[in-house]
Formats: sequence, C-alpha cells, structure tokens
Amino acid sequence: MSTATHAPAPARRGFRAMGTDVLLLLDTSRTGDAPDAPAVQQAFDAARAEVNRIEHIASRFDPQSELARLNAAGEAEVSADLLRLITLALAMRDATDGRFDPTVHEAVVAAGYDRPLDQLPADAGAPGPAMPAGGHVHVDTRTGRVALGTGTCLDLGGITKGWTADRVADELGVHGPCLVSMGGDIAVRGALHGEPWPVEVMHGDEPRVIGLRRGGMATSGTDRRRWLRAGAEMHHVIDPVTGRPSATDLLRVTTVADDAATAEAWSTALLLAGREGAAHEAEARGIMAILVATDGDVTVTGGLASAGDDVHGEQPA
Amino acid sequence: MTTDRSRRRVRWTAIGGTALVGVGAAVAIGANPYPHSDRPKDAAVQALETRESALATEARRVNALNAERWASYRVKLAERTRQIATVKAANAQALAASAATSSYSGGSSGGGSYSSAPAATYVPSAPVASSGSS
Repeated sequence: MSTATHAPAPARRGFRAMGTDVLLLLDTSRTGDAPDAPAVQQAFDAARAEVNRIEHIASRFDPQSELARLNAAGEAEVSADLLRLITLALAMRDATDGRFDPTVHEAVVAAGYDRPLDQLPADAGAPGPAMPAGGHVHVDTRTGRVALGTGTCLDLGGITKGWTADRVADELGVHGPCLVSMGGDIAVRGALHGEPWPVEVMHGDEPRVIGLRRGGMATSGTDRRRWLRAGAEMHHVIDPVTGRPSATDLLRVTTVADDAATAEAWSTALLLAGREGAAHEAEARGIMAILVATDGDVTVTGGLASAGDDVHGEQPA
Repeated sequence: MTTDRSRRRVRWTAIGGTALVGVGAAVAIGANPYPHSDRPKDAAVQALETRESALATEARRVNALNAERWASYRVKLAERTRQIATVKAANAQALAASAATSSYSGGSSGGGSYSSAPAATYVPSAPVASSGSS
C-alpha cells in the first residue's frame, strides 16, 4: 500500500449526468502526463461526451430520448446501443429469476418517481395502484426491432449507469489505468500504481475500503432516492412481483462482478431476495457481496471475507 | 366484254398503284430522312437528361468519398485495436506483478497471478471513490 500512499494522485474529473455524480479517475503515472495535460483533458472530454450520448439514448425522463420514444410508441427499430442495453437487461432478468426487471417502469411511475428526483414535490397524493412487472418484450436482434407488450414500458436506469461505467472505462482505459464511477456503479481498468483501486463501501454506518482489482462494483439500496407520497416514504427499488417499493429486510447490497452492469443487476436482485435468500444465493453463485441489513447486521459472501476475515468483525488493519 | 376487261384492267392498275405507293412510303420511312437529332428536344426530356447526368456524377463522387472514409476508418480501427491490446497487456502485466508482490493478495486462491487474485479484497488504503446506492 505504500506505493499508493506516495504515488501521485490520479487525474480527476467530476460532473453531474444521469441524475447522479459521475467521477473519472485516470492514473497518468505511466505516461507521465500532468493531470491538467491536454491529452488527459481530451480523454476526460471524450469520456464525458460518451456519458452524455448514452444518457440521451436511455433516459426515461427525456421525452426525446430513444428509450422514451420507444416507450411511447410501443415498437421501434432501435440503435445498436439501446439494443445492447435492452438485451443485457432482459438477460439479467432471466439470470436473476425476474428480480431484476427492466419492465418496472410503470410501477416506478405509479410509486411517484415520474420525473428526476430533484424535481419531485416534497410530498404528493397517494401513490398509484401496484403495477407488477414481468412485461413482454420482443427483441429481434437481426433487425434491431423491439416490440413492447401492451402496457409495458422499460426503465433501464440502474443498468444503464453500470453499462455506461463499463463503456467509458473501456475508452478511458486506453489512456491508462482508470476508475469510472456513475453514482457508485464503478468500473476499473488496470491498477492504480500497481495496486487495486480503493473504494469506500458503507458497512451499516461504518465506512470500509475495498480494493477493486478488475471488473466492476455496484451498490443498490433503499436508503437513497427516497420521496414522500401521502406522508409515506417511498424508494426506487421496486419489487417486480408486487409492483411496489420493496419491503426487503436488507438496507443495502454491494456486489463485485466482471463488469459494473452485471454488478448493478445482481445488487438489485440480491437486495430483493432479502437477507437469508441473498446470503444463500450469493454464496451458491460465488458472488462477492456485502449485505447490510436494516438492523445494521453485515454479511459478506463470495470469498470477500476471506481476504479480511471480516464477516461481522472489524476491518483488517 | 370489252367494258368488263377494261374495268378489270383499271382495277388491277389501281391495286398495283396503291401497293407501289405503300411500298414506297415504307421505304421512305425506313430510310429516316429526318433524324431526331436534327429536331429540337423536348425541354422536359432535356431537363431529365441533365438531371440524370448530374446524379450519376454525384453518385460517383459519393461512392469515392465513401470508399475513402471506409479505408480511413479501417486504418484508424486497426490502430485503435493495437492501442487497446497494448494497454491491456501492460495493465495485465502490472496487475500480475502487483498480485505477486502484494501483501493482501492472498484471497481464496492464495494470489500470485492476475487471473487467480480475487477481484476485490479489504484494504487499509484511503479511498479514491465510494460505491453508494446509485
């Protein structure tokens, strides 16, 4: 760790996009570029442009976005990027037995999350009726044509952030080891001065640091993106079965996977599985996960604990 | 009788004459003594021909430009692919080296190589980012 301590800090760029904080870190020690060097700034500019481009494709709040137009029309020939996102989301719906489901759009809207979070009223009337997901989506990968079942709309919010982190990390990684965080959905390429990228993860109220060597990490939780409806607190993690904000006994789940998009889908799926189900499934599948229960209890799975012997104890010194 | 023969001769003469005139007319038309090029073209046809010619020229120009751009794209793509491969190899090498020497590279497999090192471990470093609910 001493290498990281004495090495220069990575070049950094932060901005807002997709309704969240975006952070780009680039280790320039190999190229010797200063953080403000034109080559580094150009790389950041290109990364930001890519984030904005994907947001314009997959935002459900922008009526001109490709996704919003598909939702409105019910059927369309979509771009290669949107096609990849939709097929990935549907593949993750299959892999997670429907707990991660991109067809929760109507349920999210019924719960009141119908505009960007910072534009939601302080409180509003009662939420709409429960809207169970599991909607039909037909995808023709040959022609790029997507047809949504009656009453089905797509919300790709979560997986888009992870997928964007992966895409941008691929691009930025050409210039050197990098970390891309889309509001906590993280993708890394290469090592920071030869060491894993240290990323803070909350264990209950206590911060811990995970060294991420490769792939991606994501956290889903019911403690963020909350709003009021008729005095009741709502959150954005919808249970596809009930069509309501989930009543899971987990507060937050962090997972590590080969890429951030997969990590994002599994963090949501495990959150919805509840404490016991998530621990069992994560161990069975070998998923590195940190499960934080609503009572503050922490369970670590998938071999992550063995590095620090830290299932319920203290962080290794 | 004389009258009948005379009438018949007149009739045959008329038929022969008509046939001769027909053949002559056919020969004259076939010879095309007034070719079209000598006549002024219809303005609409002329405009269409001009348009057709212009479109053909434009199509050749666009095809050439397209071919040029494709060639340029392929060169850039090959260069980009080489760059990515180089960076990936360098990153893999650096990670392998760090996994071999790192004090926290144990994990379930004992570490020692890039592929066998765990994707994530607890570390006592100061964080550079945080993973919260997105």
